[in-house]
Amino acid sequence: MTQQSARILVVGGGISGISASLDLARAGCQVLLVEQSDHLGGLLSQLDRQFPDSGCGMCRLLPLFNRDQTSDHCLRRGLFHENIEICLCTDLVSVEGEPGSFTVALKQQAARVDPALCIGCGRCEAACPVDVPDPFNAGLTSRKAIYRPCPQSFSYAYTIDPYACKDCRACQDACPTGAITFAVKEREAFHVLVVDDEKIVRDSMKEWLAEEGYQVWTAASAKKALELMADTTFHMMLTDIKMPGMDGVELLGRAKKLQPDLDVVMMTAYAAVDSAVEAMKQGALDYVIKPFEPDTVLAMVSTCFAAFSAARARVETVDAMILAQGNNLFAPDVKTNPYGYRHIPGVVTSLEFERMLSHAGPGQDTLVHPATGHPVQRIAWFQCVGSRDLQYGNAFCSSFCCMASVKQSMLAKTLYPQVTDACVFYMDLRTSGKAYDLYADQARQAGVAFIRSRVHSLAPDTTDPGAGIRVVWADGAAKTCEKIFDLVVLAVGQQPKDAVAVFAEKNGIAMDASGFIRPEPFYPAHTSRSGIFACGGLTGPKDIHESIVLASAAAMSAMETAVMTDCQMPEKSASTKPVTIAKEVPRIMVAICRCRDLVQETLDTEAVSHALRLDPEVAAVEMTDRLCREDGMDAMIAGIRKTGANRLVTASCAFCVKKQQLQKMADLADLPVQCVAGVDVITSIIAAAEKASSAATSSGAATSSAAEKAPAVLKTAFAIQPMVRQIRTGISRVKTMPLEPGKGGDMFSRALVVGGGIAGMTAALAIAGQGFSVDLVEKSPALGGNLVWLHLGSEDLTAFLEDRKAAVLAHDRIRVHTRTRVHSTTGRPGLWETRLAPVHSADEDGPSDKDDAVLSDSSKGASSIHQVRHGVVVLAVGGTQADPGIATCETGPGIYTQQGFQQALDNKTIDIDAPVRVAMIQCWGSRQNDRNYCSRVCCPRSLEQALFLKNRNQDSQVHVFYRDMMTPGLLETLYTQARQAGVLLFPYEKQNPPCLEPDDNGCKITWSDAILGRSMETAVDYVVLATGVTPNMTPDLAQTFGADLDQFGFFDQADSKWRPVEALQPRVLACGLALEPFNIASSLATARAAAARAVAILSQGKVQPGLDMAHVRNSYCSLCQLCISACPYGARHVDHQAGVLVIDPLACQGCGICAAVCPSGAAVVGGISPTHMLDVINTALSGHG
Amino acid sequence: MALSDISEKLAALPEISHRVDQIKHLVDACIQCGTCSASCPNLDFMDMTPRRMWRYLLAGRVEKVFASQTFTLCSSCYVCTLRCPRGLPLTEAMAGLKQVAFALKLEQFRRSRLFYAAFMENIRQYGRVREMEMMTRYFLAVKNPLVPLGYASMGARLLKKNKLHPRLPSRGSGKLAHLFEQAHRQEH
Repeated sequence: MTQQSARILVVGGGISGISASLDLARAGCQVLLVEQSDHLGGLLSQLDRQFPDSGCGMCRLLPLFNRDQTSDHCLRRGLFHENIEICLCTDLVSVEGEPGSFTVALKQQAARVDPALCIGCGRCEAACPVDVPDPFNAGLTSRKAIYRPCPQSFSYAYTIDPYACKDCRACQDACPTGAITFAVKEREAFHVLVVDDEKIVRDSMKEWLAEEGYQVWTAASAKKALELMADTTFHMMLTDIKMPGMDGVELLGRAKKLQPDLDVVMMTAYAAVDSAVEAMKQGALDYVIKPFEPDTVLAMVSTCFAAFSAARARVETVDAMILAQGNNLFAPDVKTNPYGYRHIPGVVTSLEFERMLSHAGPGQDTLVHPATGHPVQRIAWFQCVGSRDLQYGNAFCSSFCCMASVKQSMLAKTLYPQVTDACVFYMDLRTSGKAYDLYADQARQAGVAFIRSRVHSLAPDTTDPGAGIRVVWADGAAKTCEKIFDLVVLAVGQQPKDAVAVFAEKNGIAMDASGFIRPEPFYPAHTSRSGIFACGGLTGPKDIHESIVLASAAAMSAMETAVMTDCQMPEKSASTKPVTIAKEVPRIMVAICRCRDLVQETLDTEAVSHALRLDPEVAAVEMTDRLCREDGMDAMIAGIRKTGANRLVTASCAFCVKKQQLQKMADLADLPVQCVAGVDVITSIIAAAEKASSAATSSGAATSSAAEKAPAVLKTAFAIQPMVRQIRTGISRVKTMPLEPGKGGDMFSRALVVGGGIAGMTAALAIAGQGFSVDLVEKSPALGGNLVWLHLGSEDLTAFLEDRKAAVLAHDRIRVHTRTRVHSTTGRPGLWETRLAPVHSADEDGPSDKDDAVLSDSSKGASSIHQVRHGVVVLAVGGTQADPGIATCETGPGIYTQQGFQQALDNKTIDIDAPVRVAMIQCWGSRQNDRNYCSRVCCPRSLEQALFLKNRNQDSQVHVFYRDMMTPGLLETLYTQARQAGVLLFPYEKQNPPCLEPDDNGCKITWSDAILGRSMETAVDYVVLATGVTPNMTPDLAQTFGADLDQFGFFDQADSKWRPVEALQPRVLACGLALEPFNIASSLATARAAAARAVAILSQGKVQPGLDMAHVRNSYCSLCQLCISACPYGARHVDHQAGVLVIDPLACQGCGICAAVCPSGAAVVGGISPTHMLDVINTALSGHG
Repeated sequence: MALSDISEKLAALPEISHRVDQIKHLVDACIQCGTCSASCPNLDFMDMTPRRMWRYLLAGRVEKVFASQTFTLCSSCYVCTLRCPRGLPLTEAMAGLKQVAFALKLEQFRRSRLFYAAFMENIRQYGRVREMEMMTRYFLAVKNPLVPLGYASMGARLLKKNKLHPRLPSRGSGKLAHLFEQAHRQEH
């Protein structure tokens, strides 16, 4: 049976697009990843360091299992995956159809440099006469029109910027490998014929159209036109009607017979409109009345061209699509430009500063003023540039800029001792996440000053530009302060892309007022159009962490669509290549690529070949050409067949050393990939040739060109020695091979979900929807978790919860166990046998009879311990409101917790139709001491409650005391609404919180107001304490499955940014509040993200061992278990029944620590044996004395 | 005492009290970032920063607002309005506060009120300011012989620079009278 795997289009190759693509690819979907620019990575390719570890960790996104299918190097250097087809420089032109069969048209810019042929020698770059600002360095440096898109890219291939290129073709002449072809530009391929008897009309039309890039022919008469049409195919004809001899209408008829697809536009004088109309009846497309403006005609031509161009687009059919085009950064020089960006030297955007900090940036590790070149000592950051700014129509917070500025200021202060002052001017420091506050504290400790004030504007100092920038601001209570800075960094916000808005409008996707795509309620990755999902900044500003989670959620939703439309997830085909070859005597063939005579000219290949043949195991040394091409590869394979070689070493350029290229060769040669090694000799040949030529030039040799000088030098025995050594290293790599392959791993293809809140239910439904059985365990009598009390009178939320509950209970692959907890587990990861025990709660007669009735089956079963087998576990145990530490009431005036107040509002125990006086105190016990994290949910909830009160009675008084108003992203509108509704908001400092004095009628509150510079007091009826969220995770539960808790008691993620929903052991997942505090939408996103990971694992069936996986030589193993405690991934376990050590192929990353600690040499990492490795090292170092 | 005075006065005049509410709503969305204060060119002469004044207004402490001279010093340069990230009509709100203060005939704004009145009357009459006459009328209205003395040195300096042009009062051309009437009708 042939199963068609789901095919998903991902638009946008930024971090969200990559993340979604990898999630889909991991689960076996075929992905088409389309990116408009010339490299993957989006904005992140320009950021060297990210919060929270001030490093880059993008590679942690890469799959942990089946790693042989994918690239395993730095993600900024490039990406490949068997299941992902990457199309760069490609636009999505149109979308038609329904989920399950979308027809999409893609338009790819013709590549002028063939990446396979380009060896990255850089001669083209040297030859190019064009200099343009380099967008990669935010315009701080310049580059040529031919350039390498990304300095850290693994591929050396150059690319041509079609907008900057002047078509001089100097690069084409300079290229030694013929990689550059100037394909006809698309507009040039569009042929236009202008027919008119007046020369002036012909000439001006030709000029207008040629300026637009079209190729234009002219004819003075109809007869001439027909002659031209005999030889050339035209796509459009503009013809006059009244001409001597044959008129335009007759020409139209004849031309249409010759070239039926021709679009014809009639040009006519006003008097002859009738005949133009007649012509249209005969098949003319349109007419224009003379005299006309150029724009009129150009618009017509461009419409025809668009149709012509669309017909040549690549058309694909996909099941679903994910949009991830991201956002633009705000351009601070639009409109009023109060900070004088581009006018005042030293005012830079945060992206420019990021590039200034980068190793590959303009300063190259020195932090200097972009205008004066002096070292920068005093730096200020201005937050909210283009965000939270209603003047610019940006009612949202951009989410990422606060943390980005914290990071940048800390980096500047710690990496550059010259920096004496680093000040961040902010309005609210939005450290709204789990580890964010800790990071900001680190910055404070590093000496960064945080000043709560907005700087109104900057004025240039006209007297002395080098004197620095005078910054004036309003300090708390006092009047104004001022300080001089060398550099001002504008923390620019996000802006929705116009192109996305146009696309959304065209395709009926709902947008919000700010221009972002509006996600469906409770489905954070769904757009209003079924089958099209959105992630990243498209649905509102996001930081990296949120984007990664949402991308996985979008991937899960896309998989669901594919399943709904009967698309099968593919079965993994086991690779069963016989490894008997390992036992054969090596017969090695070395294939040296001539690279279009480049190698031949520079290197004495005969001598190299002779030197290599000295090794008796080298069966043959073949010269081939263009190994990167099909024909070159075929020739080489023929060589292998001829010589009967069983090992292959290629000596070529960097392109052929790539993992996917080696795999391709191995497949063609029918060899295991371990038997194929690639050596990049071209790069060192070019380097040596350059060195030789510069030596020749500097020694004042004759005027002959450097390239001609070089060969003579490289052909000496001394010069070929390094090449031979390099190739020999490759030979030694394939000589010995691991004898034992790693073992695959079985697993139970069931999932266990612990926690029946909304996150747990969503994860269970998503996993079950992909065809896997799920056990859902909930300790309370009813499902629903926090959503039961959270609804704030929202009928939507109640309906959603009921709908999800009903779906879970009705699903035939989900077994629900209420009043149950995880007791213990046996087995090992993937083969867990977990015992579930009943919970006997005190309130056995709780108010959830309705659910009990539905669940009677499973509840009955829960009376005794029973066992479930599962391969993955999702911990969705949720969180609860933190204890306020003081007595609270449930009715009447007094002190409430946020949850208590919510319940009082919903139960109407407070009369809110009468005016009430309420004070809400944020961060009560939160963001300090042992709970030094922001709980995210409390600020928005307080504002919602305040608005609710104000809407019920305008005379109600609501005071909100806050430290930083945490309303990131589109939640900012809630803050604005609350302000507009007359809610009174007072910021306070952590060390100086408001004081409560409860009395019989409520409470008196005194606080000191920083702006008024005095103490204030007010009497209120109700005090609401926002205490934040504490996790329900217990160390026992986490450790049962080999996971751990972090310092706050939440689930310890493998990486809080890049692997946000899993533990180091990838079969242990978590979602919702168990991970960190989230609002409902984010919780749902994490649930889907966790489900996506679970599905990817479960769909493996039997996990195939990777090439670099560790394995155990059981005969040597004494079961000392040193390796078990040493393994950082929890991949090693003792199978007590069989008395052997087993390895989880899913968890093992081939790091080799086990091999290092094993005292008896029983632990081996695949592909590497000590003799093998030592041999490679010896060869590589031979000749180095 | 003066503070309770204003509350009582406002309570007695619902129309003006409503006007104060309207002004408050103009600045409701204020997030107290301080942009207005730092950008104000007259800040140094104010007894209270605009930020603090808006804060008192939003907190409902109207007596504090009217105990300060800050809003009378607003010269309507509109810089704060231009720079405010919330796009609030701050200059308009300042003008509103002046109107309320003058309408309440509060003693502490008497001189301000009379100065504005003299200024506007001068404009109405001549279509421009005749400094000498304006100040004379202002001094007559203030009815305090000490006030002109306070301006003596400035007057002397202006005279020296030939900036004052004594002219006899005339009936004026009166062309703006119609405009003033129209504006008055619109406001009331």
